Amino acid sequence: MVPMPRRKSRPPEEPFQMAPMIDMVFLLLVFFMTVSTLAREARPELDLALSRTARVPEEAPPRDILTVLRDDTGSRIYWRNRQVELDQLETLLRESARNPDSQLLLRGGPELPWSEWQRILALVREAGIRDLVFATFEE
Amino acid sequence: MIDCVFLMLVYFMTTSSLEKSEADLPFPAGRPGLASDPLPQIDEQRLAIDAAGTVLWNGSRFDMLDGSGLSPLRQRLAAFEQTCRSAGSEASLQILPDRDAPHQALVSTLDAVSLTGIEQVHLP
Repeated sequence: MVPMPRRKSRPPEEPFQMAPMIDMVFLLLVFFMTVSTLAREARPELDLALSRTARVPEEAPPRDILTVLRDDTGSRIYWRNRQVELDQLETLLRESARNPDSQLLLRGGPELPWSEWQRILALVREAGIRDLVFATFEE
Repeated sequence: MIDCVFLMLVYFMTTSSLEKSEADLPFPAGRPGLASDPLPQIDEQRLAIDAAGTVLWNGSRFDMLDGSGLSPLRQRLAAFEQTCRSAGSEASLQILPDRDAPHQALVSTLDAVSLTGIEQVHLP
C-alpha cells in the first residue's frame, strides 16, 4: 500500500479586521474636517503680497471680490470668478455700491503695478464704494 | 455606517483646500478727483514710491521690497506722528506711488503707516 503524501498543514486564515480600518478612516475624516478650509468664495488663484499688519478675519463680511491677474499678454479683471471688461465693471461696481455696507476685496499679485489699481480705484470711487480691503498673506 | 463615513471623507477631500488663508489689509478709499486736487492739507507729508519699490520721503530712501526699509520708515513716521501730536495737529500722509510701483511696496508702506497709528492716509 502506497502511503498517502502528507499535505502541508496551512495555518487557518484570520478573518479580515474591520476595526483598524474604520479607525483610520475616522482619523482621516477628522483631519480633513479640521485642517481644511471650505472653498466658500469662488476666486481665481494667485500669489498675494505679504503684510505684517493684515489679519485673517474670523468671519469675513459679505463682500464683492475683484481680482486682477497680469501676465505677458496683459491684465485681466475678474469679478468673483468671472472675467469682465472695464465697462462691465463700472456697472457691477454701481450695483454693489447700492448696498451701503458693501465692502470690496481687491486681490492682486505682489508685482502688480500701481497703474492697474489706479484705473480700477477711479471707477470704485466714482461708484461710491468706501470700504476697501487689499487681500494679502500674513507675513 | 462605514459607507456613510467613507462618503463624508470623500466629500471633505474633494471640496476642501489646504491653501493659505487670505488676510485683510484695509486702506483708504480716497475721494473722486483727489489726484487732481492741487491743494494738499497743511502738515500733510508726501511719500513717493518709485518703480523699484523704494519709498522716497524728505530726501531719505526706504527699500520696501527687500524689507530693510520698513523698520526705519516706521521709526521716522512715528517721530513725525509724535511731532504732530505735540503740536496739537493730526498727522496726515499722502502716498504717491509711481505708475509702475509694485503692489508689494504699497502694501509694505501701508504696513509701516498702520504700525505707527497714523489714520489720515490718502492714495491718489
